[in-house]
Amino acid sequence: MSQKTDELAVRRSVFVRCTPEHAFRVYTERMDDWYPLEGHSLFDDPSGTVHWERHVGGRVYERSPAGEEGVWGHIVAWDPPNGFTMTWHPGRGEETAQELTLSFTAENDGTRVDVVHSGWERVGPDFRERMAGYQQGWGTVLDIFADEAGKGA
Amino acid sequence: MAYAEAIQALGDPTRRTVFERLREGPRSVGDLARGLPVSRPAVSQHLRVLKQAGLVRERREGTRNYYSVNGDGLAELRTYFEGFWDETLAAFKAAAESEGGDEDESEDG
Repeated sequence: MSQKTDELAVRRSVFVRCTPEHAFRVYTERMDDWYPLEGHSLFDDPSGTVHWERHVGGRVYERSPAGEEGVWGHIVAWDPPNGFTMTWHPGRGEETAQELTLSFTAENDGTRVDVVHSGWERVGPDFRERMAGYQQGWGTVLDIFADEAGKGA
Repeated sequence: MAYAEAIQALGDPTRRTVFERLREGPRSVGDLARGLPVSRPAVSQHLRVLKQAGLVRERREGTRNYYSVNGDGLAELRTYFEGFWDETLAAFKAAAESEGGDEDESEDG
């Protein structure tokens, strides 16, 4: 049933005051400038860099200050500036990959960015251990989210 | 944290299959075991783990127990990932807008 994936998918959107071209580039070419690596890094030292091989089959990976590389996922569809799809398995085997699709749509003098993150039921059994290293950052994220959710209630 | 437990519970392929079946509707252990290459006790054990992880609910009807997906457990997992995306997209928005909305080729690689 295709609605399974639908039902399980996490969907988020954000409106950005810029063109889809610019938004797409900031996302895929300048992630270093904005991505909250602190708390979400694969390495102990979160001051590394994020690299995108911008083509189908290309890797998205993090490079630690010491030069180690950790793959986040692989690009499976590439259509700038409309969007891309990639697998998502940071620090895990590819067989546990989730799928991540971002779309960039021109709307009201800006761009709507839609995220569809699906397939998280495939995450492997060692995920919990991996999470231990992330705990602090994720805890913060959850706190912020809970606050926001509380405001809306 | 419950979300980690839920994700871990779903890491086992057979358990995942059991869970997927339940998503089609409530089932008894017997129903579940019939379509699977594992014994009833094994299915029961998987259900116990899923229940502990907050993903599955148990309901007694006469002499039978029926199992179904626990929507609350799923909601917690969603919250976790939604939080991740909220933070990421907020940071992205700030960066994209601070650099202006104009075309700007160049740099990076």
